[in-house]
Amino acid sequence: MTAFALALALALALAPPLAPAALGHSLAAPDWCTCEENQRAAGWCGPCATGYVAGQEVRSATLFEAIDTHGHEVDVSSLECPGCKTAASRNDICATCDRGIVDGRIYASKLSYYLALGEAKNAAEIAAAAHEYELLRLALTDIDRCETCAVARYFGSLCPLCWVTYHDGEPVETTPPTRSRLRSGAAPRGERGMRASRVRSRSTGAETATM
Amino acid sequence: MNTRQLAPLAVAIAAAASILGISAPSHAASHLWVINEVFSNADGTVQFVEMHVPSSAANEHFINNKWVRSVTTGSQHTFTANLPPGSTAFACLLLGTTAFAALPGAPTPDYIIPADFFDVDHDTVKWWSYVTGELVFTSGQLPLDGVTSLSRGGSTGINTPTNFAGESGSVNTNPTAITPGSANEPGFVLHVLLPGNSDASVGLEFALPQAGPAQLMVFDATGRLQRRLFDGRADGLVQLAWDGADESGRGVPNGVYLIRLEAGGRQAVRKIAHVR
Repeated sequence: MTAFALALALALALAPPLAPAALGHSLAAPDWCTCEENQRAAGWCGPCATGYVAGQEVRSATLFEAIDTHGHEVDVSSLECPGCKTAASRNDICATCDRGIVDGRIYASKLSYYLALGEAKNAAEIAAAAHEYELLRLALTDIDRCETCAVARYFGSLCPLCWVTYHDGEPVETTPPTRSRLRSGAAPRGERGMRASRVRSRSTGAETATM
Repeated sequence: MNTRQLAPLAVAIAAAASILGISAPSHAASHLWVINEVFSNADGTVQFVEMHVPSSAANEHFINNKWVRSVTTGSQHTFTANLPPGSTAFACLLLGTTAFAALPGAPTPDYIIPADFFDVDHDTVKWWSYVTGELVFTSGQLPLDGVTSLSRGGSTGINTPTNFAGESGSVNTNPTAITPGSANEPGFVLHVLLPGNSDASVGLEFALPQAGPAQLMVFDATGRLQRRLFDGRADGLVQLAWDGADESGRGVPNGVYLIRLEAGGRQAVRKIAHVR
Protein backbone atom coordinates (compact mmCIF):
# COMPACT_ATOMS: atom_id res chain seq x y z
CA MET A 1 0.00 0.00 0.00
CA THR A 2 1.42 3.37 -0.92
CA ALA A 3 1.82 6.24 1.46
CA PHE A 4 -0.94 7.99 -0.37
CA ALA A 5 -3.27 5.06 0.05
CA LEU A 6 -2.45 5.01 3.76
CA ALA A 7 -3.20 8.69 3.99
CA LEU A 8 -6.45 8.16 2.20
CA ALA A 9 -7.41 5.31 4.45
CA LEU A 10 -6.72 7.49 7.48
CA ALA A 11 -8.68 10.35 6.03
CA LEU A 12 -11.57 8.06 5.22
CA ALA A 13 -11.59 6.65 8.71
CA LEU A 14 -11.75 10.11 10.25
CA ALA A 15 -14.08 11.65 7.77
CA PRO A 16 -17.77 12.16 8.32
CA PRO A 17 -19.84 10.28 5.78
CA LEU A 18 -20.88 12.18 2.71
CA ALA A 19 -24.61 11.67 2.74
CA PRO A 20 -26.93 13.04 0.09
CA ALA A 21 -28.55 15.13 2.78
CA ALA A 22 -25.28 17.01 2.99
CA LEU A 23 -25.92 18.38 -0.45
CA GLY A 24 -27.05 21.89 0.06
CA HIS A 25 -29.80 21.86 -2.51
CA SER A 26 -31.09 18.32 -2.18
CA LEU A 27 -34.27 19.19 -0.31
CA ALA A 28 -35.40 21.35 -3.19
CA ALA A 29 -34.12 19.06 -5.89
CA PRO A 30 -36.57 17.84 -8.51
CA ASP A 31 -37.66 14.21 -8.58
CA TRP A 32 -35.42 13.51 -11.54
CA CYS A 33 -32.37 14.83 -9.71
CA THR A 34 -29.33 12.67 -10.35
CA CYS A 35 -27.07 14.28 -7.77
CA GLU A 36 -26.65 11.14 -5.71
CA GLU A 37 -25.28 9.05 -8.54
CA ASN A 38 -23.27 11.93 -9.91
CA GLN A 39 -21.70 12.56 -6.56
CA ARG A 40 -20.30 9.07 -6.73
CA ALA A 41 -19.36 9.26 -10.39
CA ALA A 42 -17.96 12.79 -10.41
CA GLY A 43 -20.68 13.72 -12.84
CA TRP A 44 -23.10 16.50 -13.63
CA CYS A 45 -26.71 16.64 -12.49
CA GLY A 46 -28.52 18.52 -15.23
CA PRO A 47 -31.75 19.25 -13.36
CA CYS A 48 -29.83 20.81 -10.50
CA ALA A 49 -27.09 22.31 -12.69
CA THR A 50 -24.55 20.97 -10.26
CA GLY A 51 -21.47 18.88 -10.81
CA TYR A 52 -19.41 16.93 -8.34
CA VAL A 53 -15.65 16.94 -8.18
CA ALA A 54 -13.72 15.45 -5.28
CA GLY A 55 -16.82 15.60 -3.14
CA GLN A 56 -17.35 19.28 -3.81
CA GLU A 57 -20.47 20.74 -5.36
CA VAL A 58 -19.56 22.68 -8.46
CA ARG A 59 -22.48 24.86 -9.49
CA SER A 60 -20.87 26.04 -12.64
CA ALA A 61 -20.97 24.14 -15.90
CA THR A 62 -17.99 26.17 -17.06
CA LEU A 63 -15.78 25.19 -14.16
CA PHE A 64 -17.04 21.64 -14.10
CA GLU A 65 -16.32 21.13 -17.77
CA ALA A 66 -12.93 22.78 -17.57
CA ILE A 67 -11.91 20.39 -14.80
CA ASP A 68 -12.83 17.52 -17.08
CA THR A 69 -13.51 14.77 -14.58
CA HIS A 70 -13.98 12.03 -17.13
CA GLY A 71 -11.12 12.78 -19.45
CA HIS A 72 -10.82 11.88 -23.08
CA GLU A 73 -9.90 8.49 -24.42
CA VAL A 74 -7.29 8.76 -27.14
CA ASP A 75 -4.98 6.50 -29.05
CA VAL A 76 -1.81 7.58 -27.26
CA SER A 77 0.30 6.66 -30.25
CA SER A 78 -1.53 9.40 -32.15
CA LEU A 79 -0.56 12.20 -29.79
CA GLU A 80 1.42 14.83 -31.65
CA CYS A 81 3.04 16.25 -28.53
CA PRO A 82 6.18 14.28 -27.59
CA GLY A 83 5.68 15.25 -23.95
CA CYS A 84 2.18 13.82 -23.98
CA LYS A 85 3.47 10.58 -25.48
CA THR A 86 6.04 10.24 -22.74
CA ALA A 87 3.47 11.13 -20.09
CA ALA A 88 1.07 8.55 -21.50
CA SER A 89 3.67 5.83 -21.17
CA ARG A 90 4.12 6.66 -17.48
CA ASN A 91 0.61 7.72 -16.49
CA ASP A 92 2.13 11.10 -15.84
CA ILE A 93 1.56 14.79 -16.49
CA CYS A 94 2.84 16.38 -19.70
CA ALA A 95 5.08 19.26 -18.70
CA THR A 96 4.40 21.02 -21.98
CA CYS A 97 0.63 20.78 -22.08
CA ASP A 98 0.06 20.55 -18.32
CA ARG A 99 -2.39 17.72 -18.82
CA GLY A 100 -2.39 14.36 -17.09
CA ILE A 101 -2.79 11.04 -18.86
CA VAL A 102 -3.97 7.88 -17.13
CA ASP A 103 -4.49 4.60 -18.94
CA GLY A 104 -4.91 6.28 -22.28
CA ARG A 105 -7.24 9.03 -21.10
CA ILE A 106 -6.23 12.66 -21.19
CA TYR A 107 -7.40 14.79 -18.27
CA ALA A 108 -7.47 18.53 -18.75
CA SER A 109 -6.86 19.28 -15.08
CA LYS A 110 -4.40 17.92 -12.59
CA LEU A 111 -7.14 17.32 -10.06
CA SER A 112 -8.98 15.03 -12.45
CA TYR A 113 -5.68 13.38 -13.24
CA TYR A 114 -5.03 12.61 -9.59
CA LEU A 115 -8.58 11.40 -9.13
CA ALA A 116 -8.21 9.06 -12.06
CA LEU A 117 -4.81 7.92 -10.89
CA GLY A 118 -6.27 6.89 -7.55
CA GLU A 119 -2.89 6.68 -5.89
CA ALA A 120 0.28 8.68 -5.56
CA LYS A 121 3.84 7.62 -6.21
CA ASN A 122 5.34 9.73 -3.47
CA ALA A 123 4.74 12.41 -0.88
CA ALA A 124 5.17 15.14 -3.45
CA GLU A 125 2.22 13.79 -5.40
CA ILE A 126 0.12 13.65 -2.26
CA ALA A 127 0.90 17.30 -1.64
CA ALA A 128 0.23 18.16 -5.25
CA ALA A 129 -3.16 16.46 -5.19
CA ALA A 130 -4.07 18.24 -1.99
CA HIS A 131 -2.98 21.53 -3.55
CA GLU A 132 -5.22 20.97 -6.55
CA TYR A 133 -8.08 20.25 -4.22
CA GLU A 134 -7.46 23.47 -2.35
CA LEU A 135 -7.38 25.39 -5.63
CA LEU A 136 -10.77 23.95 -6.46
CA ARG A 137 -12.15 25.07 -3.12
CA LEU A 138 -10.85 28.58 -3.76
CA ALA A 139 -12.26 28.59 -7.27
CA LEU A 140 -15.70 27.67 -5.98
CA THR A 141 -15.84 30.99 -4.18
CA ASP A 142 -15.70 32.82 -7.52
CA ILE A 143 -18.62 31.12 -9.21
CA ASP A 144 -21.32 33.61 -8.31
CA ARG A 145 -19.16 36.54 -9.41
CA CYS A 146 -17.44 35.21 -12.52
CA GLU A 147 -17.28 31.60 -13.66
CA THR A 148 -14.35 32.34 -15.92
CA CYS A 149 -12.44 33.75 -12.98
CA ALA A 150 -13.19 30.53 -11.15
CA VAL A 151 -11.58 28.60 -13.97
CA ALA A 152 -8.63 30.98 -14.11
CA ARG A 153 -8.15 30.78 -10.36
CA TYR A 154 -8.12 27.01 -10.43
CA PHE A 155 -5.78 26.74 -13.41
CA GLY A 156 -3.56 29.66 -12.46
CA SER A 157 -4.25 31.63 -15.61
CA LEU A 158 -5.85 34.80 -16.86
CA CYS A 159 -9.58 35.49 -16.85
CA PRO A 160 -10.10 36.99 -20.30
CA LEU A 161 -13.31 38.69 -19.18
CA CYS A 162 -11.96 40.45 -16.10
CA TRP A 163 -8.29 40.41 -17.12
CA VAL A 164 -7.23 39.18 -13.75
CA THR A 165 -4.35 36.73 -13.65
CA TYR A 166 -4.25 34.15 -10.89
CA HIS A 167 -1.33 32.23 -9.51
CA ASP A 168 -1.59 29.57 -6.85
CA GLY A 169 -5.19 30.55 -6.27
CA GLU A 170 -4.46 34.23 -5.76
CA PRO A 171 -5.07 37.21 -8.04
CA VAL A 172 -1.66 38.57 -8.84
CA GLU A 173 -2.10 40.96 -11.73
CA THR A 174 -4.73 42.80 -13.67
CA THR A 175 -3.96 43.58 -17.27
CA PRO A 176 -6.71 45.34 -19.20
CA PRO A 177 -6.47 45.20 -22.97
CA THR A 178 -3.72 47.43 -24.18
CA ARG A 179 -5.86 48.53 -27.07
CA SER A 180 -8.77 50.57 -25.93
CA ARG A 181 -11.19 49.86 -28.70
CA LEU A 182 -13.59 47.00 -28.37
CA ARG A 183 -14.89 46.11 -31.78
CA SER A 184 -17.90 44.25 -32.97
CA GLY A 185 -17.96 40.82 -31.49
CA ALA A 186 -16.08 41.83 -28.41
CA ALA A 187 -17.66 41.07 -25.12
CA PRO A 188 -18.10 44.05 -22.85
CA ARG A 189 -15.32 44.68 -20.43
CA GLY A 190 -15.94 43.31 -17.00
CA GLU A 191 -18.55 40.96 -18.36
CA ARG A 192 -20.11 38.62 -15.86
CA GLY A 193 -19.81 40.97 -13.01
CA MET A 194 -16.18 41.72 -12.24
CA ARG A 195 -17.24 45.00 -10.76
CA ALA A 196 -14.57 45.54 -8.18
CA SER A 197 -12.03 48.16 -9.06
CA ARG A 198 -9.31 46.53 -7.08
CA VAL A 199 -8.20 43.02 -6.34
CA ARG A 200 -6.48 42.19 -3.15
CA SER A 201 -3.79 39.57 -2.97
CA ARG A 202 -4.63 37.22 -0.18
CA SER A 203 -1.02 36.36 0.43
CA THR A 204 0.51 39.82 0.34
CA GLY A 205 -2.43 42.00 1.13
CA ALA A 206 -1.35 44.26 -1.66
CA GLU A 207 -4.00 45.82 -3.81
CA THR A 208 -3.75 46.10 -7.53
CA ALA A 209 -5.63 48.83 -9.30
CA THR A 210 -7.90 47.56 -12.00
CA MET A 211 -9.84 49.00 -14.88
CA MET B 1 -5.30 21.43 5.01
CA ASN B 2 -6.43 19.20 7.87
CA THR B 3 -7.64 15.65 7.63
CA ARG B 4 -11.27 16.67 7.73
CA GLN B 5 -10.83 18.95 4.76
CA LEU B 6 -9.09 16.20 2.87
CA ALA B 7 -11.88 13.75 3.48
CA PRO B 8 -14.05 14.64 0.49
CA LEU B 9 -11.00 14.36 -1.71
CA ALA B 10 -10.28 10.96 -0.27
CA VAL B 11 -13.82 9.85 -0.88
CA ALA B 12 -13.65 11.10 -4.41
CA ILE B 13 -10.33 9.45 -5.13
CA ALA B 14 -11.58 6.18 -3.74
CA ALA B 15 -14.62 6.52 -5.94
CA ALA B 16 -12.45 7.46 -8.86
CA ALA B 17 -10.35 4.38 -8.47
CA SER B 18 -13.42 2.20 -8.56
CA ILE B 19 -15.51 4.11 -11.06
CA LEU B 20 -13.64 6.52 -13.27
CA GLY B 21 -10.52 4.53 -13.82
CA ILE B 22 -12.36 1.38 -14.75
CA SER B 23 -15.53 2.24 -16.53
CA ALA B 24 -15.59 5.90 -17.26
CA PRO B 25 -18.13 6.60 -19.97
CA SER B 26 -16.95 8.13 -23.18
CA HIS B 27 -17.34 11.86 -22.66
CA ALA B 28 -17.48 13.90 -25.81
CA ALA B 29 -16.47 17.51 -25.42
CA SER B 30 -14.04 19.99 -26.90
CA HIS B 31 -11.16 20.05 -24.45
CA LEU B 32 -8.63 18.76 -26.91
CA TRP B 33 -8.84 21.56 -29.44
CA VAL B 34 -5.91 23.94 -29.29
CA ILE B 35 -5.09 27.23 -30.95
CA ASN B 36 -2.55 25.87 -33.39
CA GLU B 37 -1.51 28.61 -35.79
CA VAL B 38 -2.00 32.36 -36.10
CA PHE B 39 -1.18 34.63 -38.99
CA SER B 40 -1.42 38.34 -39.56
CA ASN B 41 -0.18 40.91 -41.99
CA ALA B 42 1.33 44.08 -40.57
CA ASP B 43 -1.88 46.09 -40.38
CA GLY B 44 -4.02 43.28 -39.02
CA THR B 45 -6.48 43.21 -41.87
CA VAL B 46 -5.46 39.75 -43.05
CA GLN B 47 -5.58 37.37 -40.12
CA PHE B 48 -6.44 33.79 -39.45
CA VAL B 49 -6.60 31.61 -36.37
CA GLU B 50 -6.37 27.89 -36.91
CA MET B 51 -7.56 25.45 -34.27
CA HIS B 52 -6.52 21.83 -34.27
CA VAL B 53 -7.07 18.52 -32.50
CA PRO B 54 -3.54 17.18 -32.07
CA SER B 55 -4.54 13.56 -31.65
CA SER B 56 -6.95 10.97 -32.97
CA ALA B 57 -9.72 12.08 -30.59
CA ALA B 58 -12.78 11.72 -32.77
CA ASN B 59 -15.57 13.29 -30.71
CA GLU B 60 -14.52 16.85 -30.01
CA HIS B 61 -17.67 18.35 -31.55
CA PHE B 62 -19.14 20.30 -28.70
CA ILE B 63 -18.09 23.88 -29.33
CA ASN B 64 -21.50 25.55 -29.14
CA ASN B 65 -21.48 28.70 -27.00
CA LYS B 66 -17.74 28.51 -26.55
CA TRP B 67 -15.43 31.15 -27.84
CA VAL B 68 -12.07 32.11 -29.19
CA ARG B 69 -10.91 35.34 -27.68
CA SER B 70 -8.04 37.76 -27.91
CA VAL B 71 -6.98 38.87 -24.48
CA THR B 72 -5.23 41.97 -25.77
CA THR B 73 -7.95 43.35 -28.03
CA GLY B 74 -10.94 41.85 -26.28
CA SER B 75 -12.28 40.57 -29.60
CA GLN B 76 -14.22 37.39 -29.35
CA HIS B 77 -15.81 34.89 -31.70
CA THR B 78 -18.52 32.75 -30.14
CA PHE B 79 -19.52 29.53 -31.87
CA THR B 80 -23.26 29.22 -32.31
CA ALA B 81 -23.50 25.52 -33.08
CA ASN B 82 -21.65 22.31 -32.51
CA LEU B 83 -19.54 20.85 -35.27
CA PRO B 84 -21.23 18.66 -37.87
CA PRO B 85 -20.89 14.88 -37.65
CA GLY B 86 -17.61 13.40 -38.70
CA SER B 87 -14.42 12.53 -36.94
CA THR B 88 -12.46 15.32 -35.34
CA ALA B 89 -9.24 13.28 -35.38
CA PHE B 90 -6.44 15.67 -36.36
CA ALA B 91 -9.09 18.08 -37.61
CA CYS B 92 -8.62 21.81 -38.06
CA LEU B 93 -11.00 24.74 -37.74
CA LEU B 94 -10.25 27.96 -39.52
CA LEU B 95 -11.28 31.44 -38.45
CA GLY B 96 -10.27 34.14 -40.88
CA THR B 97 -10.90 37.74 -41.75
CA THR B 98 -12.76 38.71 -44.89
CA ALA B 99 -9.57 40.01 -46.44
CA PHE B 100 -7.89 36.70 -45.73
CA ALA B 101 -10.73 34.76 -47.32
CA ALA B 102 -10.44 36.87 -50.47
CA LEU B 103 -6.78 36.08 -51.03
CA PRO B 104 -5.69 33.56 -53.66
CA GLY B 105 -4.60 30.36 -52.01
CA ALA B 106 -6.73 30.79 -48.93
CA PRO B 107 -8.93 27.86 -47.98
CA THR B 108 -12.47 28.88 -47.15
CA PRO B 109 -12.63 29.90 -43.49
CA ASP B 110 -15.13 28.00 -41.37
CA TYR B 111 -15.85 31.23 -39.51
CA ILE B 112 -15.30 34.90 -40.31
CA ILE B 113 -13.65 37.11 -37.72
CA PRO B 114 -13.25 40.90 -37.84
CA ALA B 115 -10.02 42.54 -38.94
CA ASP B 116 -7.59 43.19 -36.08
CA PHE B 117 -9.11 40.29 -34.23
CA PHE B 118 -5.89 39.76 -32.34
CA ASP B 119 -3.05 42.13 -31.64
CA VAL B 120 -0.08 42.05 -33.99
CA ASP B 121 2.40 42.84 -31.24
CA HIS B 122 1.55 40.61 -28.30
CA ASP B 123 -1.46 38.60 -27.36
CA THR B 124 -2.94 35.50 -25.81
CA VAL B 125 -5.47 33.84 -28.07
CA LYS B 126 -7.66 31.76 -25.83
CA TRP B 127 -9.85 28.81 -26.65
CA TRP B 128 -12.69 29.24 -24.17
CA SER B 129 -11.68 28.40 -20.63
CA TYR B 130 -9.40 25.61 -21.71
CA VAL B 131 -6.11 26.90 -20.43
CA THR B 132 -4.14 24.22 -22.18
CA GLY B 133 -5.51 25.31 -25.55
CA GLU B 134 -4.30 28.89 -25.67
CA LEU B 135 -1.54 30.33 -27.84
CA VAL B 136 0.58 33.08 -26.35
CA PHE B 137 3.00 35.35 -28.15
CA THR B 138 5.06 38.21 -26.88
CA SER B 139 6.32 41.30 -28.64
CA GLY B 140 8.28 40.41 -31.75
CA GLN B 141 7.27 36.77 -31.89
CA LEU B 142 4.54 37.08 -34.51
CA PRO B 143 6.01 37.36 -38.00
CA LEU B 144 4.45 40.12 -40.07
CA ASP B 145 6.16 39.51 -43.40
CA GLY B 146 2.99 38.40 -45.12
CA VAL B 147 3.88 34.75 -45.57
CA THR B 148 5.11 33.42 -42.23
CA SER B 149 2.84 32.32 -39.43
CA LEU B 150 3.34 31.47 -35.78
CA SER B 151 2.53 27.99 -34.56
CA ARG B 152 1.83 26.59 -31.15
CA GLY B 153 5.10 26.11 -29.37
CA GLY B 154 6.64 29.21 -30.92
CA SER B 155 7.83 27.84 -34.22
CA THR B 156 7.37 29.82 -37.42
CA GLY B 157 7.05 28.80 -41.04
CA ILE B 158 5.10 29.36 -44.21
CA ASN B 159 1.46 29.70 -43.25
CA THR B 160 -0.68 26.60 -43.79
CA PRO B 161 -4.26 27.49 -42.89
CA THR B 162 -6.52 24.44 -42.95
CA ASN B 163 -10.28 24.28 -42.54
CA PHE B 164 -12.60 21.66 -41.10
CA ALA B 165 -13.06 20.01 -44.49
CA GLY B 166 -9.31 19.48 -44.67
CA GLU B 167 -8.78 22.09 -47.36
CA SER B 168 -5.32 23.56 -46.86
CA GLY B 169 -3.63 26.48 -48.52
CA SER B 170 -1.18 29.28 -48.11
CA VAL B 171 -1.42 33.01 -48.60
CA ASN B 172 1.01 35.76 -49.40
CA THR B 173 0.06 39.34 -48.57
CA ASN B 174 3.41 40.66 -49.68
CA PRO B 175 4.13 39.60 -53.27
CA THR B 176 7.39 41.50 -53.26
CA ALA B 177 8.75 39.59 -50.32
CA ILE B 178 11.88 37.60 -50.95
CA THR B 179 10.55 34.95 -48.66
CA PRO B 180 9.58 32.00 -50.82
CA GLY B 181 6.18 32.06 -52.13
CA SER B 182 2.86 30.44 -52.08
CA ALA B 183 -0.01 29.27 -54.15
CA ASN B 184 -0.91 32.73 -55.35
CA GLU B 185 2.13 32.97 -57.56
CA PRO B 186 0.97 32.39 -61.10
CA GLY B 187 1.77 28.92 -62.28
CA PHE B 188 3.26 27.80 -58.98
CA VAL B 189 0.63 25.48 -57.57
CA LEU B 190 0.40 22.55 -55.20
CA HIS B 191 -2.88 20.79 -54.72
CA VAL B 192 -3.90 18.01 -52.37
CA LEU B 193 -6.52 16.07 -54.29
CA LEU B 194 -7.88 14.08 -51.37
CA PRO B 195 -7.67 16.49 -48.50
CA GLY B 196 -8.49 15.71 -44.94
CA ASN B 197 -8.80 12.34 -43.32
CA SER B 198 -8.22 9.55 -45.73
CA ASP B 199 -7.47 5.89 -45.28
CA ALA B 200 -6.23 5.64 -48.83
CA SER B 201 -3.41 7.25 -50.75
CA VAL B 202 -3.33 11.00 -50.85
CA GLY B 203 -3.41 12.37 -54.35
CA LEU B 204 -1.15 15.32 -55.06
CA GLU B 205 -0.45 17.49 -58.04
CA PHE B 206 1.81 20.41 -58.67
CA ALA B 207 2.92 22.65 -61.47
CA LEU B 208 5.66 25.22 -61.95
CA PRO B 209 5.59 28.44 -63.97
CA GLN B 210 8.32 26.98 -66.12
CA ALA B 211 10.03 23.62 -66.39
CA GLY B 212 12.79 23.03 -63.86
CA PRO B 213 14.01 21.00 -60.93
CA ALA B 214 11.57 20.43 -58.10
CA GLN B 215 11.25 18.49 -54.90
CA LEU B 216 8.08 17.33 -53.23
CA MET B 217 8.55 16.09 -49.69
CA VAL B 218 6.48 14.94 -46.73
CA PHE B 219 7.37 16.14 -43.25
CA ASP B 220 5.83 15.18 -39.95
CA ALA B 221 4.58 17.71 -37.43
CA THR B 222 7.99 17.97 -35.82
CA GLY B 223 9.65 18.83 -39.13
CA ARG B 224 11.30 15.49 -39.80
CA LEU B 225 11.46 14.39 -43.40
CA GLN B 226 9.36 11.28 -43.86
CA ARG B 227 9.27 10.79 -47.58
CA ARG B 228 10.70 12.35 -50.71
CA LEU B 229 7.95 11.97 -53.25
CA PHE B 230 9.53 13.76 -56.17
CA ASP B 231 13.05 14.90 -56.86
CA GLY B 232 13.71 15.74 -60.47
CA ARG B 233 12.79 17.93 -63.36
CA ALA B 234 9.16 18.93 -63.56
CA ASP B 235 7.50 20.08 -66.74
CA GLY B 236 3.79 20.79 -66.79
CA LEU B 237 1.35 19.28 -64.35
CA VAL B 238 2.83 16.53 -62.19
CA GLN B 239 0.43 14.14 -60.51
CA LEU B 240 1.41 11.55 -57.94
CA ALA B 241 0.22 9.94 -54.74
CA TRP B 242 1.52 9.37 -51.25
CA ASP B 243 0.67 5.98 -49.86
CA GLY B 244 1.26 6.96 -46.23
CA ALA B 245 4.64 5.24 -46.02
CA ASP B 246 8.01 6.67 -45.08
CA GLU B 247 11.27 6.23 -46.98
CA SER B 248 11.69 2.71 -45.64
CA GLY B 249 8.24 1.69 -46.74
CA ARG B 250 6.75 1.60 -43.25
CA GLY B 251 3.41 3.21 -42.66
CA VAL B 252 3.73 6.48 -40.79
CA PRO B 253 1.72 7.07 -37.60
CA ASN B 254 -1.56 8.91 -37.72
CA GLY B 255 -1.12 12.63 -37.54
CA VAL B 256 -0.71 15.86 -39.38
CA TYR B 257 1.87 16.00 -42.15
CA LEU B 258 3.19 18.82 -44.26
CA ILE B 259 3.58 18.39 -48.00
CA ARG B 260 6.25 20.79 -49.20
CA LEU B 261 7.03 21.72 -52.78
CA GLU B 262 10.37 23.40 -53.46
CA ALA B 263 11.32 24.71 -56.86
CA GLY B 264 13.22 27.69 -58.17
CA GLY B 265 13.87 29.01 -54.67
CA ARG B 266 10.19 29.00 -53.85
CA GLN B 267 8.08 26.86 -51.57
CA ALA B 268 4.47 25.87 -51.17
CA VAL B 269 3.24 23.90 -48.19
CA ARG B 270 0.02 22.02 -47.62
CA LYS B 271 -1.13 20.37 -44.43
CA ILE B 272 -2.91 17.03 -44.43
CA ALA B 273 -4.25 14.73 -41.76
CA HIS B 274 -3.22 11.13 -42.20
CA VAL B 275 -5.53 8.65 -40.50
CA ARG B 276 -5.30 4.98 -41.37
